[in-house]
Amino acid sequence: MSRLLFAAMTAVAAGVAFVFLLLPLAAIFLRVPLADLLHQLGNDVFRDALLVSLKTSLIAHLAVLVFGTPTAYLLARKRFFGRGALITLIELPLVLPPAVAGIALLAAFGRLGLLGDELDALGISIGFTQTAVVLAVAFVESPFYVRGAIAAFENVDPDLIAAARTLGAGPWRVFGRIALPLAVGGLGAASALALARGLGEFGATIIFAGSLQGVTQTLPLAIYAELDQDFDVALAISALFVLVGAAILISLKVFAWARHGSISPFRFAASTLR
Amino acid sequence: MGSARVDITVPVRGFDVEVALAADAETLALVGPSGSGKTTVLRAMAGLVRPTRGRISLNGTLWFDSRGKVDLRPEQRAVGYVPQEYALFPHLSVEKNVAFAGGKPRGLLERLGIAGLAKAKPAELSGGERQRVALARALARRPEVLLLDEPMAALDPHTRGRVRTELRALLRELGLPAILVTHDFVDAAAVADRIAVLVQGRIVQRGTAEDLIAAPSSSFVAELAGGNLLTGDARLRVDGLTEVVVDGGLEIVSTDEAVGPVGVVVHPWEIAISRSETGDSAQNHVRAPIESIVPLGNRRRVRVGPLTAEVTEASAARLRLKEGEVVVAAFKATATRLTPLS
Repeated sequence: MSRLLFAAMTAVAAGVAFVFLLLPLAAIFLRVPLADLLHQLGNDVFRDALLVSLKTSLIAHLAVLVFGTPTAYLLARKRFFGRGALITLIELPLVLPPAVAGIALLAAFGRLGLLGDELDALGISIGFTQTAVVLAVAFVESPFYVRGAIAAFENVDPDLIAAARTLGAGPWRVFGRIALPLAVGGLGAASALALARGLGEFGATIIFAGSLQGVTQTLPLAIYAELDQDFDVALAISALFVLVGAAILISLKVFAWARHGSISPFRFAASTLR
Repeated sequence: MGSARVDITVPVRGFDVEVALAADAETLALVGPSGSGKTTVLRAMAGLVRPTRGRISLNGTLWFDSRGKVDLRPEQRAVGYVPQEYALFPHLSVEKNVAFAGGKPRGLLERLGIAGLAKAKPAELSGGERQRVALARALARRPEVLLLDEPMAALDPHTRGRVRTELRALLRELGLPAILVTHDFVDAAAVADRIAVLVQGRIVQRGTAEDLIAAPSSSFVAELAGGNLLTGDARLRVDGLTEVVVDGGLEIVSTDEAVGPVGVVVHPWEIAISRSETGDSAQNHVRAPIESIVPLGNRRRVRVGPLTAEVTEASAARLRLKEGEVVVAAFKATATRLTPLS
């Protein structure tokens, strides 16, 4: 009896959770026919926002990979005093409201901010430019990447690194031939999640970069701007996000499954080899 | 020919590993229980852990000196390190694993009989094959010293005997100083020229396998070396068993395959003592007077002719064993290990 009750209660809880999570997503597609949604994507606001989003996210993501990968490798490989504190600091933006990130960026790089005078002297003005969008996106997505990348590098067996060193490999070769190829699965997953987070960045961007169509208005900002202008455009962009998000998740799962699954055909080949 | 000199102190969890070793063109086995600091000695020689005191030199070149502040990085030390479980790079083929250490892998792969596996990935290999790849890779480094950490531990018992013989032959042929770490005395006796017993970071005894068996300095070494080591001449019988004529005329039968000069190893606890040759399943029986009875905890070590047997205190009392009395020591062919000599 109590077993039955337990089963029923978990089933009901799961049902509520699924409906709650899926109903709004389904509603995006149910309110407007798919063909109309596609038609909305010809809209100027959408096209400008798409270009801004693609450009800023790609630049920001590239910067995050270039600086984040060595940072993660260092933190994963070296044991030093304050390492735990550094990792916690890197993770801090994860738990901050994005609006706080925007204020923090303004306080650092804004005209009246910490580096405002120095940047002004160099003739650089960051606030409300595409550079500001890039900074906001990079700031918000980098903890996602670095965290995942640290885990990916920590998963590389230290004995393999040690073996590589005894075989005469210096730090560049150890990194390029052993650590990087062995961590590449985890790095790819972290990279995809960070990219998705960067594409969806809203709060920090609107505070630090504003929402200027064709300059700083990214796709999430365009959704907000179109909300009281043309709701169908907002719906269409949202639908696009749902599809892109789903595609990223599915490709991650398929990738992990393919890597994992590749072991068994190898085993089979080995037995026929001998 | 090569010479390795080590005199170091390395702190590990709970105690210091304090060891002085010298090996010329020969294989030195470091034998001891797990956690005694054996691997630490190898890692210090490879430059993977830093000793707090001492010197490491190879062929007269200092690799480490705590006073002279010499400390070569691992990639600067010409070591052929074969770590436990071999640490083969899983994403590289056999050929690329070996080539990682430099040079063309072809010759080494052929020499170790794994040329046919060049394109295979480590996950596709058996334990014995992996060990050979690890050896080939270590040799590709053109090492001045070989460091082998439990090279036989990952092998099943069947391959183990064959691999011991191969490894011994290879090490002889290379003529390099080699340090072999193992917890198995039989491995050490089969492969190494000399043995040092390491307990809690200290070497408690060193010598040849025969020395350690004949005159263990402590009950620990006695237990570790434990085994009886006889030498003799082996030949295969038609029934598939191996017959060894031991120096002195005694004939012993083993399930291990061997031909020519061999060492015969039998653990004392594999030997049963009785008053007469009863119809037991043991193939080997030695009838001789008891030379000595030595208490060892709740057991008795009984010396019968060339053999040492270990029986419980209770059995010794029940059989009323006394020195000088003639008894029969019996052991099974399956408990008789053969290790080729020369």
